[in-house]
Order: sequence, then C-alpha cells, then structure tokens
Amino acid sequence: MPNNFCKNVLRATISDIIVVLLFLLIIINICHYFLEDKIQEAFETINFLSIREKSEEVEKVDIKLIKETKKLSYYPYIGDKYGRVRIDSIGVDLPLYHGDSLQILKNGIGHSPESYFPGEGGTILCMGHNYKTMLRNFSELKLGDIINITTDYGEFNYKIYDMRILKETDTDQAPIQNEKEILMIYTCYPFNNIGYAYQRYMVYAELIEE
Amino acid sequence: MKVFLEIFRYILSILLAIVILVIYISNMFLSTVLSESYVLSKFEQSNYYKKVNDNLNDNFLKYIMQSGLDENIMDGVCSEEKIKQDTNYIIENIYLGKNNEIETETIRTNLNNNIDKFLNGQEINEESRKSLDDFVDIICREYTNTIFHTNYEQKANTYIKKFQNYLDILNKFAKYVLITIVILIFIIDIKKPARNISIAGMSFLLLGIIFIYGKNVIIKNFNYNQIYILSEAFSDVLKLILDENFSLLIVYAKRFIILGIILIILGNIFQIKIKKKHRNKKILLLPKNIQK
Repeated sequence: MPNNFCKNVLRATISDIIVVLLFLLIIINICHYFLEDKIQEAFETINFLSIREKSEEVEKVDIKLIKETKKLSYYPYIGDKYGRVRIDSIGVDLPLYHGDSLQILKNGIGHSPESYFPGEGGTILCMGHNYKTMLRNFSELKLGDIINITTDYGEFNYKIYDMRILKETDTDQAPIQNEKEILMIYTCYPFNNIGYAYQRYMVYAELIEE
Repeated sequence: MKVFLEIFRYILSILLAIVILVIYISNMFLSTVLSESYVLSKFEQSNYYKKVNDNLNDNFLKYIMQSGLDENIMDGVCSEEKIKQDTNYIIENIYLGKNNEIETETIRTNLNNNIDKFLNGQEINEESRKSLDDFVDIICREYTNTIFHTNYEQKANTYIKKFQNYLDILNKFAKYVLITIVILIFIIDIKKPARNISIAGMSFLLLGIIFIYGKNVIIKNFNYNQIYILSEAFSDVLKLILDENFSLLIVYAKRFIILGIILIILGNIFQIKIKKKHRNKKILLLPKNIQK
C-alpha cells in the first residue's frame, strides 16, 4: 500500500512538473513570436550605448619597413606605443607614442600624426614636455649629439645639426617634407618657465645612414 | 466541466507566477537603482571615491607637466572627503531634485597657496601670472568634469520621479491582482484545497525557472562586464549593482524552485490521502456483499 501511495504521489508530481515545463515553453514561444525583434533591438541599443569593446586584446602585429616603397606594412593607431627615444648625452630614455594628445605626452614622447614615421624618408615631428621626468635637460644638448629611435621595425640614429628657439606659432620652421629624413623634437621654452610657455625649443637632427 | 476548471486553474497559476514576477521586478528597481541610499552604499563598497581621486590626480598631471610646476603643487588641494561630499551633492540633485553646486573655491584657494609657496617670493611677469591663473581655472574645471560629466541632473530627477511613481502604482495594482488570483484559485473548487496547494507550488516552480532562464538570456545578450558609462569608477559601481542583483535573482530562483516542488508534493500527498479517505468511506457505505 505505501508503495502504491508513493507511486501515485510521484506520478502526480511528475505530471505537474511536466505541465509547468509546458507552460514555460508556451510563454517562451509567445515571447519569441511577439517580442523577439523588440527584445533584440533593446539589447543592441543597450550594448551600443554602454558596452566598450576590449581593445587591449588586439593581436600584436609585426610592423615591417618596406625598403622599396619606404612605407610601413602596418601603421600604429593613435595612442599606440611603437618605440623608444634615447639621448645618451642627457640621459633621456622615453617611450615613443603615435599621437600628440596631453594623455600621450604625460607618458612619454609624442609623434605628430601629420608627419612621417622613422625610416620613411621624410620629416618626423616629435614633442615632449620639459617636465623633470621628460625633456627638462634639453638645454644641455649639443650639436653632434645622437638621438636614437628604436622602433618595433628597426633602429634609427639621428645626429643633431641645429637647435632653435621658436614661437609656438612658427609652424613654417617645422616643414613636413619627404625628400630627406629629418627628425625634429621640440619642447616648451624657457625650460624653467612657470605657467604656459609661448615658445618652443626645437632640435633638428638628420638620419645617419648605415 | 472538471477539465475546464482544471485548465482555468492552470491559467491562474501562470498569472500568479507573472504577477509575483512583476512585484519582484518593481521592488527590485525601487530598492536598488531608484534608491539614493542604496546607490551611495554601492559607491562606498566599490571604492568609487578613491578611484575618482586617482583619476583626478592622473588628469591633473597632464596640466602640471606643461605648467613648469611640480607634482606636489596638488598636495592637499582636493581630498577623497571633498570628492565624496561633492558626489553626494550630485546624487542628491538627481534623486531629490536639489540644486547643489560643486564648490571649487576651496580648490582654487589651496592651489593658489601652493603656487605661492612654490614661487617662494619669486617675481613673475604678467604673462606668467595670467597663465598660472589659467592653470588654476583648468584644474577647477577638470575637477568639476571628473566628478560628474552631465548637466542633466534635473532631467534625470524628473525621469526618476516618474519611474518611481509608475512602479509604485504597478506594485499596488499587482498586489491587488495577486490577492484576487489567490482568492479565485481557492474559490474555484473549495472542496479541493489540497489541489490548490499544488497549483501554488506550480506557480513558484514556474517563477523560479523563469528567473533562471531570464538571467541566462540577459547575460547571453549583454556582456555587462564590459560596461562603460561616464567613467571606469562609475562603470565599476554599475557592474557591482548588476552582479549583486543577478546573484540575488539566482538565490530567489532556487528558493522558489525548492518551495514549488515541496508544495506540489505536499499538495499531491494531501490530495491522494483525501481521495483514499473518500474511497474508503464509499466502500464502507456499500452493502457488505459488494464491499467484498
């Protein structure tokens, strides 16, 4: 008797659970039929407004310099670190970033997107703050000093041949050309200036061919 | 007639589950994102003020580097306490409709004092003085922008109030509907109270499974771990709120499923016992030769 009783209870329970699962299927199908498009649209809108795609997991691409065309096989994005700038004579060893925003200059040397990349045979325009951890010792540079730029695709050495104090509006003193590889790095001047600096200290260096 | 009654009972059990779902969702919103105290507690829990402080210092450095000043110019200029106070003012504006302003005079005064200490009596020309004033203005502006990125606090307050009202009304309405459904379930067949226990159990079981299914659908379509709104610190608060509420949803789902199964079993036990009793009674009432 108890066996029969348990069997009956079990049978009734299972049939009730099956009914619940059927209800669930019906509700899901009704929702899918009437609301699926609206639900998808809602999710797309929420994702568009609030989800940031993870950019840090982008695969690192090997950049190569194509010597025949003097072009890079792949160009870094704005904000990408793609090399280092070393000036042994004044103890500078800083990362080199593509771009020239304040955020970039806080972390190292910026590279103007309007200029060429090292190895491309044109003007490379770089800049850095004259802050103590950056280019504060620029005043100690001499003609003939070597600036080394090591990139993901090669190493380039430049010899300083000129140094000028310019107004920040003297953009004609930093011409972008593609006939000769010239490196121009500038920082704010005077070096011990307090407040906003209206002058720039520009260093010109030419590529030392191997 | 019995079949129709049974079908009607099943429909009521589905409605019961839906009504409880509506009550749960409306209460969840009212007690979490629509509650000022809850939101402020999540800010504390996720170390929001410290993260904003770190972010501010990082942002200030960009301007310090081009100013010729040292990093320690920002010492004592703004603190976590001030950030907390100003953030709370903004939250009050959004939730309570107040008109608090972020005060930057303290920052301006402290920064000017630090600059004077740095200059140490050094004479500077008018141009440098002007650019230092510009620097102080930029720092104050950067502070205000980092604390909060929106000028739509009053608009947000209007929407929050509207949403709270709608949910309050929906909540009250859902509770009346709930009582009505429960009464209907019992009066449909007063002679079978045990069956009603199973029906209630089926509602809870259905609700628990809907909770789990709903959570999985949301997570499949919305990768909330990648959420980014206003700033990293604010996004971390949102992630914390979503995490907590999804976990709570699963806890309730499990409870409803267990409760549902228990009620179904209990209902069926009582139902079958009552049926047996009635059958035995009927057998006893029959003439002896037929009983055998």
